[in-house]
Amino acid sequence: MKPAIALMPVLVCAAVAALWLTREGTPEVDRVKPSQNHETKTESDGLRVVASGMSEVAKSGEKGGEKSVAAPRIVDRVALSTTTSEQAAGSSTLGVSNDVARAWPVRSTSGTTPATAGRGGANPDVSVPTKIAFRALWYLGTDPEAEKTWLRAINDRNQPPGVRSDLIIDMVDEGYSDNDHPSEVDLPIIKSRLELIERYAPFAIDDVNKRAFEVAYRELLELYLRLGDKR
Amino acid sequence: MVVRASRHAILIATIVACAGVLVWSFSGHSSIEPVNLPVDSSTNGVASGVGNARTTPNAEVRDDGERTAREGMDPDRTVMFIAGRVFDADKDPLANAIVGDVRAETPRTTDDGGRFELVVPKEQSDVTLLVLANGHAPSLLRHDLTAAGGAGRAEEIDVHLQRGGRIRGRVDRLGRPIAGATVTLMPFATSSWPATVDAGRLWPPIVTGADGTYVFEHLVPGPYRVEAVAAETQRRKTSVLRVMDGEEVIADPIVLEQGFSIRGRVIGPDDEPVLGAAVEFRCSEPRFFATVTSLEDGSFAIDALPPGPLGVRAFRDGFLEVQHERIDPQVKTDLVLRLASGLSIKGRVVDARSGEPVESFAVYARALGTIAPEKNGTLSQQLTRTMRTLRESLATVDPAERERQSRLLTELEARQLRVAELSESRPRVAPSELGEPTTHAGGRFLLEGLQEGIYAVCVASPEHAYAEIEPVELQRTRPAPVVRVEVVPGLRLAGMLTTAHDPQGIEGATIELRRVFEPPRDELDRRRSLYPWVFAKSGPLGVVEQRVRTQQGGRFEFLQCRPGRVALSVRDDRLADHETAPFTVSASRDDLHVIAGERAVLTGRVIDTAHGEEIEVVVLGGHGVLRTVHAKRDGTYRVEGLQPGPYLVRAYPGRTRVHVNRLFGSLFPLHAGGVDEDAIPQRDVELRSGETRTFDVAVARYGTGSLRVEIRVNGVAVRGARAVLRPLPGEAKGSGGLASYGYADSAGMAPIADVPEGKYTLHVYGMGWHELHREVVSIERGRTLSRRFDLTGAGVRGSVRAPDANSEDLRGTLWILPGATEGPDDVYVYRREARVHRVPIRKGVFEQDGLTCGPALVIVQLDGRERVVRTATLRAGQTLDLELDAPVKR
Repeated sequence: MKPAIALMPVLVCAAVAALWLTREGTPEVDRVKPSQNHETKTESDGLRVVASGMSEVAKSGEKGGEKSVAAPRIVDRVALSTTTSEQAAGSSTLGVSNDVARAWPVRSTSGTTPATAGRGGANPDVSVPTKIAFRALWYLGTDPEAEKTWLRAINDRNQPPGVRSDLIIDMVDEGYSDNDHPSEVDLPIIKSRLELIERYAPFAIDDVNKRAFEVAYRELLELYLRLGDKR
Repeated sequence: MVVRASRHAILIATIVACAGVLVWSFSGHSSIEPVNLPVDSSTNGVASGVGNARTTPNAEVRDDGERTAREGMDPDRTVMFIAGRVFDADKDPLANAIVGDVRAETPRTTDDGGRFELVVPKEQSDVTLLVLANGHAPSLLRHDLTAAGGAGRAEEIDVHLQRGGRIRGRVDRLGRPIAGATVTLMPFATSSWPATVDAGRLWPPIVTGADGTYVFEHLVPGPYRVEAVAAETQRRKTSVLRVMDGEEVIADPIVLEQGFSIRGRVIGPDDEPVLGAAVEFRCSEPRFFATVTSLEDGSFAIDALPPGPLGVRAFRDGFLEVQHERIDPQVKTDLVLRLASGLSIKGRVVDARSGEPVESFAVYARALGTIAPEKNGTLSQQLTRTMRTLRESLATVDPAERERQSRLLTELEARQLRVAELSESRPRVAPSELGEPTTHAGGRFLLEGLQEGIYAVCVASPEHAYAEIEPVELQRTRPAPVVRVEVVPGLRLAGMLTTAHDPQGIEGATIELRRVFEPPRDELDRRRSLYPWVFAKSGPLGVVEQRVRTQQGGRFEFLQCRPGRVALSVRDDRLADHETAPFTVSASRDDLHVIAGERAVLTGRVIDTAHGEEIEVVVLGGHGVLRTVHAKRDGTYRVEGLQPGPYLVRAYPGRTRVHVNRLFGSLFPLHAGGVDEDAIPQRDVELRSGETRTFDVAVARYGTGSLRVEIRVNGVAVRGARAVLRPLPGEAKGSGGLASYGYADSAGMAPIADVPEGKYTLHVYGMGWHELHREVVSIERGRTLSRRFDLTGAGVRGSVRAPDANSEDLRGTLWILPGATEGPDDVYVYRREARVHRVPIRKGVFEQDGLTCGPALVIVQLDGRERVVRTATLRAGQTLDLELDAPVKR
């Protein structure tokens, strides 16, 4: 038998004694202190400590809080604060707690492909960066390559529907000599944009684009009627 | 305390001793062995190598070789390590913060030193970190990984958290606080966050206590609204609340009013319950919209309704929708909604040449619009409606206007014809909803369960070109229409995609068949691009008819093609975008050969930078490319996967998006007429297909200063008042023409930092974007300009009466022109040079505070009416009551 095995009973006894001696202090060490006004459940699987092998709940990250685990840890479920009328009526604060009912607020992304060599911008998967697409919108009706760029952007299903809709409807408001007050000098652009809608609206890729084309056409027609053919 | 500490020490020492002896005994007295486990953990909480028994994670992260050997990693290094530290609002390292990539489901926590470490696939070009910690606002940080230099390297990211702001408020009913009301935060501040982050879960709904109060804490700075509802009340929202870091916003009390409930059933034509029908409830005043879904027994229930009158609509696929207007939930609490069977289209598909039935095809009814929409609608419907309105008004307008409208009418008629011609001759693009072909005996088909409306019947037969018949009108009062679809044989276009370096063919690339529009020659000559290097390559316009992926050997094939002018486009992450010249198709072909270019790489060094300085490199051009990367600590950068073409390359200190905004602001004026082509900088590099190009770039440094403005109106600090710096043309080079904004806190302080040096107009606004002061200021490098404004403000309120109209219909603008003595012909032109307050008139009433004091002209402008001008005097701290008569109709 190895000497260490022989020592084990002694060490186990010492551990038990130490646990008994520290029984009053234990709650202070292990008490969940997520932040004030939090639910005070103390299930230990909210955050799983792996580096130390201990199943310990997370403690407050605020200064002065207890800190017992040094190494980085993997969190398999993350808890955010919750508030009930019984425990902290009327208050909600962000925090990391051990409430297992709450999870990391990130939805599953399985199936999404990592961005590699997209064109950049906030969404690397789009064919035209949104920032460039909106600049193309400003010159719609005067610049043929801007039109081509804009067309590619509005027909790209990777562009969020709201962006596509804005790219179409905003042609009513953007790109005039005075965007607040288009005047007769802007009539060529207005007519050109009406023709552009007539050309592309029948190919709207979905209802979002279709409705946006209809709204833009109505508003441009109104603008045209107000300004058109004044002599 | 000492006793307690010593007890802890005994416990810890004992456990450590036990563990140590166990390890020693079972390992044959060897030292602790590293654990060989997958680098990334599964969700079962298994220990990973990243977190194992070490206290200096960064030191290990940097030593890739050691890590690989120790953990038994794939030597190909399929992952990338990201490490960093999280600091609290006092700039101290923060333990127990949770850090994760928003694309991953497994976050990690920081150690005592605030350190964290993440592992991401090496293909990932960027990481967006979400950081959560007690007592702090969540933080979202996007970090570019392309400068990391490949897999296996570590990226160091420091995250500094803010405490965030707070919204406090109360929920009342009949002047008394409501306990138990559910209060929900609507965080617009996080609306730009990735869709994978459910920001609503960061601040879950809360329930009010006995005093009816609520508090949302640690909010990301930005706009919010708060919504509350309680038992038997309606829902109510606050106005938009702007939260700033470290500040508390006291929201106006949310006053809940009595809510109403409706229960009901949705049944079909045979009185059977309809499961899954959507039932919409809407109200215009107060604005309300909600949808519930019917259950298995057809029942539905909804609470918290306004008193109405309500519009109710029920619909489900296969049934005709049913609508009820002016439902009063105070009277009608039970509803039975009966759905009739949907409408149908019958038809037959025949071969156009032989007249024989075609039996294999897919058919689909594509909705084009409603029969007679009151607003919007198809282009043809809009033109018809507009022309009808013009014709009706011809009799009531003066001769000059009649002449103008007649000319417009003629033009609209021509436009209507052109739209009809385009509709007939336009290319047909098969909708994605078309399924696989099925067999139809005798070529007959029946489309059922359709709503009233205008449709296009879409037919795709394997042997024929795609065909559409439109418009087909469906009305419940008319018999089902019968259509005959004639299809012509389809053409086959096939070929091969290669590159100069890979003549064997590229598999898996996307090829588009585009139907080409041929604009008139003179139009082509007339129009040229202002930014040919940023916008798409010059070439014919068109729409994509079909899209396929190349097979083995780069082979591709388009079936069911129609004759005409087409072009092919190549889209692939590995290849440069490519478009062929247009060509005419009149017969099937299989000899098409497309040779695409390859992507390019730009690399180099940022010069004039200190070691370790944070630098962002911006690359713009390549016919539609905008990329930003962070230079490495040694000043080198690398951008891969670029489209060939000309580029501007810029380097800026820091990692702030404002640089890109300012670059865009300096390049692109608001309209084409404002473009000065001589002012557009020459491009820095022209990348060729497949090229790796080295280009060193100097850091663009602009001296910046700051502005500190204190705003008081009528002696009171105005929270939310604004200071805006607008650069004078050509006087603030680094600004890119963009304005800088500061919002006043509760002490009236509105600081603006990081303002490029130069001359600006400083505008000071009270609440509601009404300018109260303007002056020219100079911002100097490294200095803070302080200004204190004690301004006066006044208010107006009142109504507009019209004997010939319902006040509900009176909508327009009340213009207030401080100091003006004569009404200008065009207020919009006048306001370019002078101060003008614009107050909306809705339903005949208006109210606005924070306006300029003193004598002013007041102009009433209502839709469809002449304008009225009168004078008024606004006095500091007072609200002027105005009762105005509406101007006469035009």
